[in-house]
Amino acid sequence: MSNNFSPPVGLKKLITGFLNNKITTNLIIGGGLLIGFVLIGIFAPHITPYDADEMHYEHLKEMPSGSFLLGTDRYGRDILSRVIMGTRTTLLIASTSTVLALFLGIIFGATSAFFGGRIDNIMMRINDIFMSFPTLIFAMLVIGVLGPSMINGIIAIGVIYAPRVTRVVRAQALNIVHLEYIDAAKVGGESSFYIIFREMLPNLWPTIIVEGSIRLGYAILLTASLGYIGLGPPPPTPDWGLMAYSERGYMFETPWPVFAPCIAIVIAVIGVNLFGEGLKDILLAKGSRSKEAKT
Amino acid sequence: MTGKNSASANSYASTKPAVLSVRNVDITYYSGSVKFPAIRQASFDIQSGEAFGLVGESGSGKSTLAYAVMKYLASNGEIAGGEITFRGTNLMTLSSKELLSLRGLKISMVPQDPLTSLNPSHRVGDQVAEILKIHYKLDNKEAHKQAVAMLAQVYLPTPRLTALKYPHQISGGQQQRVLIAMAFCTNPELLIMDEPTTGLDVTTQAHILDLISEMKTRHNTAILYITHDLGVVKNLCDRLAIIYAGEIVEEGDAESIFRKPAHPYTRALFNCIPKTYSREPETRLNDIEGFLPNLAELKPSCIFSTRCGFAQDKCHQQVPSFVEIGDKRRIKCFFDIFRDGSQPVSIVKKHTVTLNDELLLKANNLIKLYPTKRGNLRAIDDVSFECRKGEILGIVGESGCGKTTIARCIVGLEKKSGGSILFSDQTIGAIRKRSKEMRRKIQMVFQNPEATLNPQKTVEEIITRPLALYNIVSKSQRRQRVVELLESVNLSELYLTRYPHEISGGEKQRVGIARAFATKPEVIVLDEPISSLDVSVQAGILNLLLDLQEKHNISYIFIGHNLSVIRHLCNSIMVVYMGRICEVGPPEELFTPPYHPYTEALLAAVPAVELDINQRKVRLTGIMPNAIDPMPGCPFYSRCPRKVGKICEEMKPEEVEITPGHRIACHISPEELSAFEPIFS
Repeated sequence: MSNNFSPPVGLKKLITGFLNNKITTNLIIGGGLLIGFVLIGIFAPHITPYDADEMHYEHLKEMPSGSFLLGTDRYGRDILSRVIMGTRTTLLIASTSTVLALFLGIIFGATSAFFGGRIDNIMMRINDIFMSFPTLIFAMLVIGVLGPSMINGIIAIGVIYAPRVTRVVRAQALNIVHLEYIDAAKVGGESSFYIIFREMLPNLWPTIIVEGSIRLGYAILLTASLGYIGLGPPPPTPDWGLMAYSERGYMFETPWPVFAPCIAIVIAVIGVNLFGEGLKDILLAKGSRSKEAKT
Repeated sequence: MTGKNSASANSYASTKPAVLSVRNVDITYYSGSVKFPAIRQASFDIQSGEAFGLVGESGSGKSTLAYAVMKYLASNGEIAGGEITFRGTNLMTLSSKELLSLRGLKISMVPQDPLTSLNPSHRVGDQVAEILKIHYKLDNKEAHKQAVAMLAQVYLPTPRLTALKYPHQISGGQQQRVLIAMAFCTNPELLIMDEPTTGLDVTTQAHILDLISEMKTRHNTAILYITHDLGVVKNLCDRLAIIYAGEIVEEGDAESIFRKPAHPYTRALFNCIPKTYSREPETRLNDIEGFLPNLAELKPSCIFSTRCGFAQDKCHQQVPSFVEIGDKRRIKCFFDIFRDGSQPVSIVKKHTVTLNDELLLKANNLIKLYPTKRGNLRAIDDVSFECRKGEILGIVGESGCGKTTIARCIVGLEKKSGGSILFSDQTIGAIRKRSKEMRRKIQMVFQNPEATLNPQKTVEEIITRPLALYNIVSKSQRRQRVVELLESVNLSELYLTRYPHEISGGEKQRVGIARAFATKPEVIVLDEPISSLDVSVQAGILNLLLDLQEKHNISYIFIGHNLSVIRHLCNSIMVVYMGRICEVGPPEELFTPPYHPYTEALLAAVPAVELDINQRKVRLTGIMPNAIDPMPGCPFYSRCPRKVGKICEEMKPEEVEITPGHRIACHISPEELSAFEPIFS
């Protein structure tokens, strides 16, 4: 192979997309929110006003105020600090599990599409079985077997979303697998491994990037849900889902400890989805014959 | 345009009022802030009962012009100037409602792709009837009755039953007939046809062209016929306009243009096409070098000057205007080209193959079955052939005849169901079961230039890969070797870093050829490598293939559907019909009797470009049978105009050797076959 650096399609298309002013409002708002959350996640311990686990006994269940911007919970812990720390756990679990799901999905999806026929059929039926479990029940099953911990949460979410990624990757790979450059590689004597990962995969990146950003939104939701039913990280850890769960009994007296993490979840998911839509406009857009071009 | 030119344009309209008159039309497309003047100063007239051919290569703007006549441009295009008059009404001033009543009633259109132009969820009869209902306000019963009558007029078999079928239940040729029926059912005064036969087989195309001529005479319709195929317009059109990069460069009587093409572009175009039939030795084709000019940056010069062999300083500095050159003909050129010399002609040197040459590839009783619910589909049915070292074997046949399947079996992309393929006396199977050395020796060039190269790899990566995989040259010399390979396909070093989307279709095909040659193969299978390219580009690729073959003395197996191209290139031609070989022979013998009846019909259907030959008419009727097992008898019996009798339906004919290397599979005796009247004379 030559030493020339070949830009992966996603990056190249993204750059030309940016250069051609294809940036939409979706991408700007979504990207902004996402970057914001990532920064908060990274620098969480440095920007919290208090230690997230510190209990201020003289300030139990306090309304939002100057010293506690989002109020305190029934142990007197600062909600804002906990939401900020929760960003870190949630994003970490959601993004790692998305990467895991993409990794598995790419391998299974591309392989299945490449071999086709009976192999494809068997792999897809197994995939269907995995997809037919309701997500939460499946997660409870996995965590029930492995035991609740952050790592096992990641594995559970990754495994749950892998079949969905497999579907999408396979569908796109099927459009490529019959093309002549794949035939040319076969006639050229390339191995199946080379064809799948060096000939097909680079052409799948746009789909994978878009799918990944959509998956991330779902993963955030599922992370929160798992936390809520107690299958996320164990209690003292500040986790959005867990926070909403443990304070839900006092929701009518002091709604802020429940609503703060919930609003954080909503904003994060909206941000990720807008970002995904924006990427889609750049990467998977089809040429349109619109009147806009006329000036 | 100057006064002189508009005067000359008007002189065409003098005899009788034209049905359609296009005057100095400019069409501009907008892409972002860039303006593309796609059509500039186009003028022509069409009289009633006249077929006017608009001939040009892809990107010439011929379809744009046709859609502009219908006032049906893409939303980013607009008619920037000029006048389009239909029967004295200026179409430019009509409201969209008035246009609606004109379209379909007075002006009809037959589009290129019949399948996507018919609604898949309505019966074809209803689709014809709908037009009658809209324009004539007929009731259901009457409209349907007339629709059936119309379907009968376009010779659809059992029109009453066909009217009840859905588009996918009838063949491509029949779909095109339905569209023609739809176009003619309102008895339009002007009919626009946008390459209506491009997607069809030659035998079907011949039928459709006959039908169009007949309908034209019967309804006295003016036809604007758009095509890239000069052969097609020869028999159909009365007058022609040749369009290049948005400008009409030559216009005149069809016969006189064919007899003496005048504009340098027209002449170059004619020299790009291999002759269908001639007794003289084959001459090398002329390809037109260079590219279409970028319309966004037009210079005040002759539009063809950058590629013209006759161009002089004047051509690069001034825009030529139309000059009359005799009988109702005009060209956009400064020079009297009849006088200003002709291009040199060289003879094609083809390697002659004799039976003593080493046998390279041999197929014995090759069979390929595709299992379907109703039984096995016989894609290849007991085919045996051989290819010698240095031979160019052409496989020709209509779509679905199994020629591509044969190619894919040879390279190992398809698993054969029976028989054997021998390469230098070694049996070869599917690609995974072949030795590395064997894989190196057999290479392939693919049909679709857009899909043949991985869009994510540079030209260098694409050609380097086989060199590395088979370790053809050492690592340090690879780059040098890639450059050599690129140069051998007439591409420069500059292409190394290009991505496929940055180069043209012809260039992609050249890279594909360089990739095939990189492994130093002994045989290359070429699956219709030029059929989706423009004729001027085709000529270049054909020349290149012949040059490379002469240099490396390797064998080609060339799959194609264009008999003229196959004849130009090949030493031996194999005619395939429904997975069986009808006839194998050298081109000189194949084009003269004795013929297999199918070869005869194919030759008769070829749209020949030569004026001075007589082409006897043979048209196939009958339907193609389903290739599902079991199929006794000759596969061609249902359409064969020379069917002998029961024996054709019950027994498969054996191949009979007429002369060494020329075999025909037919029940008719060789003596009788030899007595056929020749197609070309």
